[in-house]
Amino acid sequence: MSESCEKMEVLISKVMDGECSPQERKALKLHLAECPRCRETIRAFGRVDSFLESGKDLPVPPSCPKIPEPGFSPRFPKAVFLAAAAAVAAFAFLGGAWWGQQKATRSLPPSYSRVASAALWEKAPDPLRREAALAALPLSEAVTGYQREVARLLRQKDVDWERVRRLVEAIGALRTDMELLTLHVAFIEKEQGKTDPASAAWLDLLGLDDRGGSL
Amino acid sequence: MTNNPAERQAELESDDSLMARIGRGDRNAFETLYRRWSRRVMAYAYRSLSDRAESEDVVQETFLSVFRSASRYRSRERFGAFLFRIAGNAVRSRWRKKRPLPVDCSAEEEKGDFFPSKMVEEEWSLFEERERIGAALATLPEAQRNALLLAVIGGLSYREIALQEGVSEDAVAARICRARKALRKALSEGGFEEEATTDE
Repeated sequence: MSESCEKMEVLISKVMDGECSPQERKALKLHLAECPRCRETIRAFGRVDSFLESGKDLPVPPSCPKIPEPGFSPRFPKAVFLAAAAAVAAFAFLGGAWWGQQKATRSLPPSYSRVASAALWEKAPDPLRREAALAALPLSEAVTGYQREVARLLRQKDVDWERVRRLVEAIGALRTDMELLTLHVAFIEKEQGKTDPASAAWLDLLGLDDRGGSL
Repeated sequence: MTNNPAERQAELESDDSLMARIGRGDRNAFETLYRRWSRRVMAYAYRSLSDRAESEDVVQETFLSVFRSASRYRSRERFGAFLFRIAGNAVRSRWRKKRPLPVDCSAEEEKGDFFPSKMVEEEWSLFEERERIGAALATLPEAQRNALLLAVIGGLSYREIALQEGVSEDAVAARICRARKALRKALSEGGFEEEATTDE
């Protein structure tokens, strides 16, 4: 094979893929007019491509894969989604309990906003979101339990203020910024004796009625 | 082609438009896109892996991945390039697990006894040709085979292949030409080792 034919093979390959420049096409055309070997190369390359693209041995593709119901974010598989929701709920619950032991006031743990988002999805039509909200339920129940305990302590004659304070902080760790602020202001005022220590007011502040309550 | 007017209209829709609908959870758009591209992805996977079951897995994996990423999809590139990048990754992950099987030449020697004597000569010749090209394809260096399949089956431009492979367009052109020459040799002579074992 001549050197010229070897160069032309690259151009033949390129022209078959629509990648030749006008100059290359012109050069190739001139060469082909005089070279039967390169004309045969075109035919052979064509047979190769035709085999690759549509050979009879090619199997048909499988049926279209099943996809999740509309409404579910397709980014995460169901198991991962539920595991993440459960992990966030557990983390927030344990984190909140630990946080309640600390004396200093601090901002809400970032995990809480994610759990709250999961809970808000409860109204969404997707059953997975309902499951995510259910996964966050222990958190809600924990807050309710803290609230009931605070209410019980406040009904006693000698109030254990240190325990109340820790419980209120634990509740605050699990509730929204605004609620946290309200609770702390009320607590400080009450501790300093600026307000009348009526249990009813506390119950109201904590969002509880006589039957208890929840988030 | 379907008789349903809505489906007919969907068949004419651009890939990007279908992807936007898939991003909103539209299953019909997903099925349309699947009908449009699944044969090519299947051909690419089968020519790469020579294994039907694995190729089917690649198709399923690729389209599920397309579905999952549809809500984030932005048409910065042609959809075909996006699709075959995903398919290419799925194929490559299988290549790592499984090297191509060596070509068994003993079967070639026994062909006279193995096939029915009444087979028309021309059909037999075509069958042999396919066998030889298929075997030659399996022995091509991975980079040559992938570049050729992406260009011929995927319809990707040299630039798109160069971006995926992290090489220059000239290198892509050279790989594809070498692959075609190796397969051509298999086509005409039944011998292909000489040109299939080197790259660039």
